[in-house]
Amino acid sequence: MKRIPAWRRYLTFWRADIEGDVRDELEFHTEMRVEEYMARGMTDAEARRAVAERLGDVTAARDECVEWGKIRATHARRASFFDGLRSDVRYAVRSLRRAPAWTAVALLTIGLGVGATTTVFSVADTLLVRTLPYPASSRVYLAQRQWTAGKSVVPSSLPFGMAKIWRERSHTIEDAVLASGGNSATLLSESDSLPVSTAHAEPGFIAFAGARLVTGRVPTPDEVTPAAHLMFLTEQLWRTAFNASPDVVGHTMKLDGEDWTVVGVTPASLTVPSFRSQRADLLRLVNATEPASGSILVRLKPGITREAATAELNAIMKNSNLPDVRPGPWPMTLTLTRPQDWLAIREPLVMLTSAVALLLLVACTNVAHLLLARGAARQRELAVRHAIGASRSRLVRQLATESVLLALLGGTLAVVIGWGGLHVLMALRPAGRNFNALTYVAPGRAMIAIAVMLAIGCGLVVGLLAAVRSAHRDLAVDLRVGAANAGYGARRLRSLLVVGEVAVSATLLVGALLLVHTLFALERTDVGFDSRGLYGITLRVPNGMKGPDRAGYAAEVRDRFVHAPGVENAVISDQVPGSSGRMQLAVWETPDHPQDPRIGTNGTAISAVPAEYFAMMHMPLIAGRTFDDGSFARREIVVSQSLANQLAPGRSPIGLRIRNARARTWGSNFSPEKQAMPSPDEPWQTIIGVVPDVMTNLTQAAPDAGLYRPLSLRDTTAMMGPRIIILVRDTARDATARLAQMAASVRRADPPPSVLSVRDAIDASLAEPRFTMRVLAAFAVLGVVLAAIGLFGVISYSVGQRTREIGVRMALGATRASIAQLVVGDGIRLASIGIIVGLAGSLVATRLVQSVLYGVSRFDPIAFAAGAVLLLVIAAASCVAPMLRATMIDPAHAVRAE
Amino acid sequence: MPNATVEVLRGTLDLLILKAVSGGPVHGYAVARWIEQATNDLLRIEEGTLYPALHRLETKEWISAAWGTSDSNRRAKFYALTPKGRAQLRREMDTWTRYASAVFAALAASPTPRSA
Repeated sequence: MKRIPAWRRYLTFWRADIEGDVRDELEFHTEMRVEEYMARGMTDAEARRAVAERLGDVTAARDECVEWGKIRATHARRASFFDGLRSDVRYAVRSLRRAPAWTAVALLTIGLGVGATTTVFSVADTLLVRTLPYPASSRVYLAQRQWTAGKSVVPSSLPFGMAKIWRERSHTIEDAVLASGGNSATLLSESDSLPVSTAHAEPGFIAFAGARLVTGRVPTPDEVTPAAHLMFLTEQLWRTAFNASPDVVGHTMKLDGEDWTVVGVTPASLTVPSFRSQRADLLRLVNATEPASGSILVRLKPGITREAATAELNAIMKNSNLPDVRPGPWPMTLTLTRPQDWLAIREPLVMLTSAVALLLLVACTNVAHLLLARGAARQRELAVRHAIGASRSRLVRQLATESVLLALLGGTLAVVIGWGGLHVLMALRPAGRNFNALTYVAPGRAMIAIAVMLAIGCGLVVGLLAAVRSAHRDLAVDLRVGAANAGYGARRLRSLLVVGEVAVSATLLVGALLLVHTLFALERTDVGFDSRGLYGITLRVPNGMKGPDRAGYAAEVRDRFVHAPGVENAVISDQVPGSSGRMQLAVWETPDHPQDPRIGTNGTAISAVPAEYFAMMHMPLIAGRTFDDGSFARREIVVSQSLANQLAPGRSPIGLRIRNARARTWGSNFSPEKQAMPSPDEPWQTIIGVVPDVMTNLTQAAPDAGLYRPLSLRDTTAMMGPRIIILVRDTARDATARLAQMAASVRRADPPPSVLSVRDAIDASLAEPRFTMRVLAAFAVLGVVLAAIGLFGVISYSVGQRTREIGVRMALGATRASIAQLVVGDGIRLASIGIIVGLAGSLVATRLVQSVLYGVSRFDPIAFAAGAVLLLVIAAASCVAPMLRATMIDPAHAVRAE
Repeated sequence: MPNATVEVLRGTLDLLILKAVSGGPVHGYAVARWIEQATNDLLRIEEGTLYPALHRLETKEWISAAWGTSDSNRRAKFYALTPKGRAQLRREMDTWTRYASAVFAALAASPTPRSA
């Protein structure tokens, strides 16, 4: 028999020797049996043979035992891991709870940092990254035509039939499907009417998008006839308006007065990309042969470049006989784009995304600081645990567990904060078109995934920063001397981090202050007329009312208001300043200067107004005169200052005759979809007066050129359009309510006339910059708070580290004032460097906010100075607590300590 | 050794092992000996299958194992019943007894008369 070497047993301390144990066990059995049989009188050989026979297939038995042994070993390892983890977690929870203030600050830092980042990244993810969330999205593009007029590039849509022709003839694309968003409509279901946003698509869109309906079915293309009126509801609308009832499929409801039948519900994740309008609530199914237009989604074949596909699709389009793809007078090009290319808020969003990424870094830095400061305080505890047998790896695991736990708890908080942030963002979203894209962002799984990834990333960065610091530590030395001296390198690293923090918040602060200044400047803008107490009352002309009747009715309504108590004045007009006016693309020519109608131009706001309009608006006449009774017949016009300057630079425009050259070839009402119908030359009009420019959209770079034609009640041809507008001035405080009441009682007005405060309308044009300012300000405040926490942390830590040094200084005669100066001076020095770096960075970074600045230079010294001062004050304030602590140090105690 | 031995039914071996170790820590050889003696050497177990069975029960945590020293001063692996194993033993004994008495009862009864 082979003897077991004694040393092998010790291996079991290292790791269980499964095979050896099984062999031992079976050998023991054999020996015992052999002894037993020999005692009964067998020889050794006989006994061994008998035992072997009785044992049977011993190899199989041994193998099976080893298998079971391995399974047990795995179980044991797992159990011991979970035991260790459980005790680590328990220990971590206990140690976090022992320092509640520290834990709260750390959690809040992670929560705010990751939460804010989650909010912004969720928006950026939807609007900048995954804008076409369909299978093989890297090959999916939005086919669009665009035309260029002057400096502006305007997207335009493609005829419906195009998708079908491309599908049939193209060799560069796999699929093309019409899907276009962006109409508003009113949905009438059983009891209530809902304002909804609609999209339209071919039934193939569902397959193109790789989507599966929540309920219902996708009709075949044959079923989708123009008369069929089939539609999908989106899951959001289905849940909010229809209680997620499966019965809704097959129901018919009124959409803008037409009957539409619901055939299915599309999943919440399915979107039709059209960032210029709100996210669709329902999807109308259209047939590719319908005579309408929209945008087309194409999926390129693998390996085909965007350029190659564009060229081929363009060629096919040109050869197709679809009615409205003939080129217009402007270059009209086919482009394959991504929705983000048309995103109006793209630059501010990029800026916010980078800013918030920096903020997260700041937050990570702070948490690393907090861990370091705490680590220093716990040096002794760790050293003692190491001395009594805890291995270094065990201690590291313990600390890592604490960090991970912190990151997890912070991450949970971040999900809540990020979710709340998104909702706040949605709630504050201004109604303007530029921010419609925000409706595409929905808090969901993607948001949580982002938060979790960021929290993990944050944990890793924090761990790394803390590890860099601790790696140089010798625990044994710590035990002997205590945490007296942090290394010079570590201190420099910490200082660098704080400088970075201050710099980031300085940049954010400058950005926010630039916007604050912009708003102040915008609110002081001269709008060109007196908007105080000015209201626009709009009513629809009663059905069938024409010509003189109509003029008489308008005069009757005006008189009603003129004589009403409180009303100072009322005039008939054809537009309300501040509401979207009647803009025409015009190329003005004079008899001496004929113009090429094809040159691009900005629009001119053309309105028809009565003679008393200018007095009523408190618009001073700059030159010439206003209308009289004969003005209409004589084709006299009044122009705004900027149009006058354009037409007659440096001289008086009075008496100048002008007309719109564009009318010659193109029709003055431009629409890229309508065919150009050459019309006869416009008659000449004579300028008789100049009035100030009107600027009701305060965010516009320059006022639109304005042109006023006389409106006379006798010349009823001027009274066109379906609406009558009365401008009323009533400066009393309760005017809005009173006018609304008065408007409701107007004879034959159905629906009741609407009352719009011109002031409010002008103010509404500030909604977008105000929103951008608020968002940026919120992040700037967050940045400043984080920087203050960081500064406070570093200074406190350094005071703690230098307790002995300060004690010695005081023992040697340093006054409390000089100690305070020492501590605060440290903080201010770090902050100053940070501010300088931050301001320097702002010189570059503010380029990203330029598009939302009005009337303020992006190098605005006021914003830069205010940012610097504000940060210095905050830096000084965050040094106060550590300063007080430093001056309270008792020299006798401090020197003796440790 | 009597010739008329019976092959142990699968499953019954587990029950016998549990019973064998229920008296206190014993090694595998002792388990084999106990089965021999307690069944008057009527049940013939292939001893090669005994050990995998012991290890299987150990993995199920019905019995626990520890290395110790035998009476003859040799290193041996000792098995003892765990609380979980004791509960299992009770359950299996109960099942077995009811099974056996049912079979006995059936064997004692007269065969079914052939229905007309």
